[in-house]
Amino acid sequence: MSIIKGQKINLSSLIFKLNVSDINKNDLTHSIFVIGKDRKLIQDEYMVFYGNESSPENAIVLENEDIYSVNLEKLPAHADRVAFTIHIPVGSPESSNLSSLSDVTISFGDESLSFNGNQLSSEKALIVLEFYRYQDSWKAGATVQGFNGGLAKLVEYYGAEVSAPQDNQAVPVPAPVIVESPKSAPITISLAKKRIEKLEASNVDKIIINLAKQASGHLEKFNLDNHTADVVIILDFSASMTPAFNDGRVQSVAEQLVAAGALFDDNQSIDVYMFDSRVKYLGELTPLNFKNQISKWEKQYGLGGGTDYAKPIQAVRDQFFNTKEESVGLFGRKAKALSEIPAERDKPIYAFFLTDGDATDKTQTTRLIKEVSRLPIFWQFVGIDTGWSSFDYLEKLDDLSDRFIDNADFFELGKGSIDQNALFSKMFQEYPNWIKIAKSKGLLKN
Amino acid sequence: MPINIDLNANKIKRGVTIDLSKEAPGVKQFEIGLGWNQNAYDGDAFDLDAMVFRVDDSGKVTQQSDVIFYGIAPAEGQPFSSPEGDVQHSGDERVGAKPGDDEMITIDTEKTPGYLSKYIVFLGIFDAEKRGQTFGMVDGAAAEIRDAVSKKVIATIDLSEQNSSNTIINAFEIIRSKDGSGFKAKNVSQGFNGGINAALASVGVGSA
Repeated sequence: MSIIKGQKINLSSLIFKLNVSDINKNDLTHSIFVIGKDRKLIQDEYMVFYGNESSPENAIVLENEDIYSVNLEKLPAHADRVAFTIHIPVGSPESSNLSSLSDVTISFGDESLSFNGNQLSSEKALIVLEFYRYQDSWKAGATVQGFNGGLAKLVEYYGAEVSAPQDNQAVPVPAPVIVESPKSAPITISLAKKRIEKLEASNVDKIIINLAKQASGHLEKFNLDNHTADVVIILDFSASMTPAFNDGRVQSVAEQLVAAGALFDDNQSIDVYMFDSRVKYLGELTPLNFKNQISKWEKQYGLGGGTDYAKPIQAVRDQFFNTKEESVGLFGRKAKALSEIPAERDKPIYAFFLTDGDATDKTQTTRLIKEVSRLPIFWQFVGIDTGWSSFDYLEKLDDLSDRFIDNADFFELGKGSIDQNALFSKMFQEYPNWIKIAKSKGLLKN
Repeated sequence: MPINIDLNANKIKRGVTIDLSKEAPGVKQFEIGLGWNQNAYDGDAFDLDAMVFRVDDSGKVTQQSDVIFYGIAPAEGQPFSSPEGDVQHSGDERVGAKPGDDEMITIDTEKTPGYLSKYIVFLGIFDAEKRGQTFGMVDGAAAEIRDAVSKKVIATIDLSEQNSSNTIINAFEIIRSKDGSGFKAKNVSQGFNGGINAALASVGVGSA
């Protein structure tokens, strides 16, 4: 039987499977909360989702991506209500909500509930179904109501802990759930793991998923698997880079950065800049649009003369730390008024700078790198061999004096095709240490 | 405005008519309380309304003043009543913020005009279709009919549970006895959809 929004019915069985059928592959995540009469989570372990796959007595078990097995008889007496909820993934763009949802059907036992965004306004989290004690048994109700504030608001509504927002733009991220059972030590579900699961849950090319898994292995070694950062890639568009574009190495490096970006940021996107004697913000690369994107941009803008490092460094600085009024609007939505710039940031900026050789504006670049050493931006300069390469200056930049903290690292990619494993390993070689220093010097919040 | 009575709605829970006169004999003043909880979620408020239609022997309202509903209130939250004073309404509550009864209607059968044979108490959700709301979405929605003097509860309707997919309900009726012995209360609990217009249509009035 199908039920409609608002309807409440008696349950024919207290043991059933709850199945999420989302044939249109909406971008959503789901979870189950077991709550008491006070409508609060009875215990942290009673939020069941991909990060905590069962309630302590296994009354609620996430069997796979879209099926929960539910046994209401097993729940403790103070468990009054079981709420099945859906939400847009944490870190989705500010503007996204469930109003664009196309048909989703939740079935449980012989019943099913279908709904879509037409029945919603701007909710980002929805309590879809509630199973609740009524007189001596249980009923089910199609609640289909929720919160514009998303999962964070939902978690707060149920009285659970929400960690501090990542920065003044980011969607608050619920604290990683600590699963404590008497049998085992506490397990923290890493953000990296969740983000990989998010990739797997959406229609992302396997290339990115595999790269992300590889990168995650490197991050774990440095305890960076709960790390959040904005990732920027800066590409040298000078004419000497032509071979590296032609043989696909730039695209390949960009893909690794997309994978890293997907692990570092709930938004799972990276910002891309090009420079030669020009500088341009090219847009975002995401796990969904990365294919052939580099060659499209290459064709659109062409490779030109000059290798001015200072321009993109300044542009990235201005994107995140808008210091000049005239740059408001240049980078559109990301520009911030001076008064909005936090003294310190929750998350750093990982700026990956791919170039085949020496800057044409060395003096300015040196001055600028020193200046921005007071900002939580880590500059990873990477040299790519194109036959015209010269890295003398970059090697000096790596060891520059007179900086607030050492904010730059340099390594060379060898000739030939990119060794992905080696690239990840180098990318995360100096960065973890920089994070520690940036925190100790107050550039980053702890 | 078309009349829209959803007959399917009753497949789920057929309304039960219960004669309450034996349980509450000799009551002259009735009190109907309607309470609900504020919407805890984002989205439109729940604006439930208690209203009374006074009908004659043929079951129809015969004049404008027989419809006692929020449309005749002087202002939000201000009490209003029938011209004869037999029906007193506590005022239109629009979000469910009050403790206890959010809206209350008192019916004093000692003031009932002679041409009336019945009071029909409707409970509905204002703008339900537009807001996409049904009783089941409203937390703690319940109504009771009481003896206004002793405050003894004669009957209760759990709107949130028993009429979950409806938007309006013919809740109670207070009926003049044919033998002239006074009035008796009935628990009708007949839910349907279509809003106040459907309720008005069911007693012979067009859209307000």
